[in-house]
Amino acid sequence: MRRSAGYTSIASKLTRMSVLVGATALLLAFVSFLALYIMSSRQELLRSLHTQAQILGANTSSALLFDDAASAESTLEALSNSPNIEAATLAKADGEVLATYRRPGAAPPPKVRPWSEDASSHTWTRRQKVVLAHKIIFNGRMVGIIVIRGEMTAVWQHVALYSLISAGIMVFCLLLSVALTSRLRQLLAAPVTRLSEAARAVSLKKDYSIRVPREDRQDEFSDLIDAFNEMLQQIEERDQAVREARNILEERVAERTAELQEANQELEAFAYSVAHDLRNPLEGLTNAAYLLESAPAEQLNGDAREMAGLVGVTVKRLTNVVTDLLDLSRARNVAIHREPVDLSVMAEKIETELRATEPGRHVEFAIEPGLKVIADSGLMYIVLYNLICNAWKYSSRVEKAKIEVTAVRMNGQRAICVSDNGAGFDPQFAGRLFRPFQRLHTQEEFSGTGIGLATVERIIHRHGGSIRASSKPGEGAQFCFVIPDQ
Amino acid sequence: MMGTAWLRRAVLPGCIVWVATVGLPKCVATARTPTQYEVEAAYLVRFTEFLRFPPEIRSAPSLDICVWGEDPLERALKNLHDSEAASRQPIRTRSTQTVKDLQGCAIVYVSDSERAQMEQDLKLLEGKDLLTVSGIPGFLEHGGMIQFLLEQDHVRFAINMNAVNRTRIAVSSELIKVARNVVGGPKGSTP
Repeated sequence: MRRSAGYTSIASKLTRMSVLVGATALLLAFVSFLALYIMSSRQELLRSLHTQAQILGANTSSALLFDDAASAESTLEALSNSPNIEAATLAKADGEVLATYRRPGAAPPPKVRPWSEDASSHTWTRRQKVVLAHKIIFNGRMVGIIVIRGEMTAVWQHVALYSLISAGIMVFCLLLSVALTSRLRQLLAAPVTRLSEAARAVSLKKDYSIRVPREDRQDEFSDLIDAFNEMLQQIEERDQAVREARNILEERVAERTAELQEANQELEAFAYSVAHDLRNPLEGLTNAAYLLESAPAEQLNGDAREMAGLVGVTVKRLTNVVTDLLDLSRARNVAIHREPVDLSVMAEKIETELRATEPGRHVEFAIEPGLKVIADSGLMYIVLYNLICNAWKYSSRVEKAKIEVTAVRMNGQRAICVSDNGAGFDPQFAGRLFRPFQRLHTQEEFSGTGIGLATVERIIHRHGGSIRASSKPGEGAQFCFVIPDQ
Repeated sequence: MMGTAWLRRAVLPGCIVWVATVGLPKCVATARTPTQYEVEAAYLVRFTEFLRFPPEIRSAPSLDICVWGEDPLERALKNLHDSEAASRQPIRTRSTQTVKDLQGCAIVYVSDSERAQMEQDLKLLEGKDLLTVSGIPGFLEHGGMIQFLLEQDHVRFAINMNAVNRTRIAVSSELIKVARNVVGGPKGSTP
């Protein structure tokens, strides 16, 4: 809707058009009038010359017959009363000049030239002069020739005057046409202008409640305005419907979310109470299994010892699940106390801890020193433990396992990354990693509860951070998280 | 047109007549003067175009121009009437010796030879519907109608309208216009 450089409003187009048409019509009228005037003036002059020639012929025939120059001159002298005749020559039948007339200041009298024998008269036009030669017939025979030169000077003076008057009229008419056009603009262009302004306003402000005011007149413009207004009305109604539908949907989503959250909380509360309640009996079971295993050989035969060992391992796994469940629950519910935490120190502790559990394994640890964040130290321990533990676990089948804890620049932020050179995972399932109980490997391949990464993600999110996993199968996995300082 | 051979032949005797009657200086001064007779002859014919004669003359088979006295004009006239007035009533020229001969004449040219007895001649012609023309000075004063004059080598003429008005001949105003001297006015305006 922006007006470009070549923008011309309909109103000014209308004005231009009418002025052009008017000017053309006036000019044509003026030119044809002038042409007609000049033509008729010439005709008039010729007629007048003819008449004069005939009168002069009648009045000079005796002078011609009796060779009376004086009488002829005095007769020609009467031409001084004819303003359009400037000179004349009277010649005898044999061409000998008898008398001439010449107005003061005029060119020499015309010469007698021969012309067609049959014609009684002949005219020549030269510039603004018209020369008429006329045979003087007396009693049926030619007694002389009168040659008259008339001039169009008066005509051209009139032409100049008419041109001036016409120019005046033209200017007046053009002004009148401009004035009339402004009325026309009121009638035609004003509704269009209003429409175009309204359309521009609607497009700029996205305000569909705008309406173009309409007039009482009934024409194409009022139809157009009605249609435009109706269109706006429909858009507004549709907008309203969409808004209402969206509100209903939002309400419904909020309802469902609330319901789901409630159900979730109930589930988690249930899981927490189950885990919590299971902890004490499991402790007893662990102790009992340990005691049973470490009983003297005479009290316990081989099979029974093996069974007792199995009980111990199973109870251990169950305990892990319960611990993870409790961690998950805590990650959600516990209040966060932010404080400076040295992740490097924490990682080294975890390293020591893991090496203790499997002293036979050779894993190379590369922990960047001084990785500090401001976060809840207990929760950060859960995060690091889970990530390093996963790395430990999934690199167990690699000859030279290597685990790195480093800081990496990620999208302009400092991310802490834990990476290994273990089994890795299929990147297309990366999203599933952080869902509880979703595992990409079977229990037989790598043991695990499927809760750890869900807990990690929850803790990171609760700190307002984000976590990303990347991998290629067989090339290890990398988990990077960002914890904002606030 | 007039033949040049004829001109040469006519010039000398004409000039002699003219010198005898009008005077020497002008004849000597201009060699063209002898053509005066031709011009006068032509004028006589042309007069007929500006005159309206009584019906009996107009209805006659020919319009007669009569020469009274010795005739220096006759040959000039003979040449003229064939050419110039072919379309009109035929013009005939004849010499007249007696009053009886004047019967049927429209114009009578009184020859220069009649100079001495001009007055008696005019008395004889009086009362007839004839246009009397002559080159004799004082012709008008004695009741003649048209008298030829010489004005700056040009043949001109004077009209005595009083005399014309006594006849039934009407003169065109065009003729009066080119006349040098007009005695009396149009018909009815003079006593």
